[in-house]
Amino acid sequence: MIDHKQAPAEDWIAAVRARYPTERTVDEALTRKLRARAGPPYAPTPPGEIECGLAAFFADKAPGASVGDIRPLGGGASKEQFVFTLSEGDSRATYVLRREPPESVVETHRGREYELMRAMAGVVPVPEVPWVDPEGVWFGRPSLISRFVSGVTKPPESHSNVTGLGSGFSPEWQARLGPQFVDLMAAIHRFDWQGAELGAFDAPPVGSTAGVHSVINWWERVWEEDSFEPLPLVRYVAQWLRAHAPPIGRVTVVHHDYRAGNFLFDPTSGEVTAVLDWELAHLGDYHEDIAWSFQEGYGYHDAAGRFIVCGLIEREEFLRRYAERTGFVIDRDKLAYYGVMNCWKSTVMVLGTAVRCMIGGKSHQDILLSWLAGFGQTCVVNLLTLLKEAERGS
Amino acid sequence: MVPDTSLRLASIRKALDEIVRPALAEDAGFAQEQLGLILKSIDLVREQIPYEYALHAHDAHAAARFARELAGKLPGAATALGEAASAAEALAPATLPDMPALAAAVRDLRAAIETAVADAGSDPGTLAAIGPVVVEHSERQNLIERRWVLATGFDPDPAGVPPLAEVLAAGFTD
Repeated sequence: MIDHKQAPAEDWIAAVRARYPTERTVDEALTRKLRARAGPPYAPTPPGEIECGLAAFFADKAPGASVGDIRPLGGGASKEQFVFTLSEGDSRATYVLRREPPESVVETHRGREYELMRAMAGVVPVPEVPWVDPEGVWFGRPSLISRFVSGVTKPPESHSNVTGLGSGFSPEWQARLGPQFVDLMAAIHRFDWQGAELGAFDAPPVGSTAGVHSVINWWERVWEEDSFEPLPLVRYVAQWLRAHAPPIGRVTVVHHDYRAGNFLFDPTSGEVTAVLDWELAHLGDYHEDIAWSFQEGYGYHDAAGRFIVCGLIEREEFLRRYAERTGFVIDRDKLAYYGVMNCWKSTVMVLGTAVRCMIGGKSHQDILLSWLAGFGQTCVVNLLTLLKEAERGS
Repeated sequence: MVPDTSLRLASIRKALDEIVRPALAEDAGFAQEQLGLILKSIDLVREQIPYEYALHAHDAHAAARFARELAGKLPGAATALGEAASAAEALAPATLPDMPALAAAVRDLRAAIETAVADAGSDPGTLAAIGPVVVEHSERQNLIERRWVLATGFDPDPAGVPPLAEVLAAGFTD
């Protein structure tokens, strides 16, 4: 399965960039991906390579500190992760190195992730991020180092599918985690980002659809770059999204992957210990985040037919609590619009980028990406349903 | 259909070779040997998949010729051999099936549709005209593809997805 996208020519890359204008650093990450695509496939990292990289890095950043107990960390479909300890004098702390594989299910920018995680410290529980290697100078590929945070992504007794999708929470866990889940999203959206150091982000204008179009271009560009098998529905929905884009009334931080599986909690106290996976975050419309967590694939319908968001909290209860915590107006039409957009993005990721990774053998998780194609078809089912509902409502 | 069977097998092979193999104990000789055979078998199957249907078609015609020639020499078996040959020939395509070429042609066709939809732009009138066609065809295709990957366990309504033979047959009778 080889096509021209597997070794993209520079003029094709230039044409794609021109056709789909988007944020500067999103463009940087996607362009870097294309220029590296013809390179070698992923090969497992020898244990000594990470050890040497960390030793050299900390010899420069924290002279006198010593690195030890390096081991791979499971979980995560997009980045390689290694746990290690760093000892300095009497202090000893555990960290996580997140390193990009040659390509992954989402191609993102470590500088954006670094800036935003630092900005969110103290706003919501988030791992401390002391260091970043945005160009891969030290670790061969772009990487980020965060403080290890203990916690679990699902109750010990639950049996979910891969990557936290469909995590099962008992009523007791729902009572403990559901309210926190809403409150933390509210805190993210209330955050005053204008006072933060977020130079890697392009803020969209208020009252305009420009920021929405930028997001549509971002993901249609990803489809253009990565898809192997054409799917006309993806192109149709892209045009539909452009035709129906609502202006952004209030610009907030959008986490972009806020769901069960992307936060840690203490299995004893039930307290959320960290909100994870900020790599897709951007500045945009808070409805985008709400609609993301409302995706069918992340929750379920209870016996009464009520939708339980991410398996944690009933949808109307979520909205009531969110409105209380933020004071923001919830626009149901915008929720419907972003429901379509988010399902469309998930389709692009799973049926476009994940397959492209497999074709090149570029990821440490090709077998997981192959399995996720099943989720891709669920995304299409939901996309078709939401599209029809949104069209009826518009 | 992405990922196709060959690509799935490549991912399986990669995980076995790069993750499972290093985890096997050095003195687990039998397991090492079995893994080696599994990897070689996967390579073999990946070579065979594109030609499997062509091989069946070839064999149908070759065996039919064989049976008819033999029938001329064995009058007592002629009727049975002739009927069996006809039954096989009736199901076998008349020309050599070329699965890779067919897959490429389907992909080119879908690409042409995708380009036409993308180039149609976001004019509401145009979208309203093509929307029902795009949605209807996408729903039919999605039903097949859901069935194809049902065992991954993600489907929201697995009991509502018809058997693969049924949904495939529907595409030939519509």
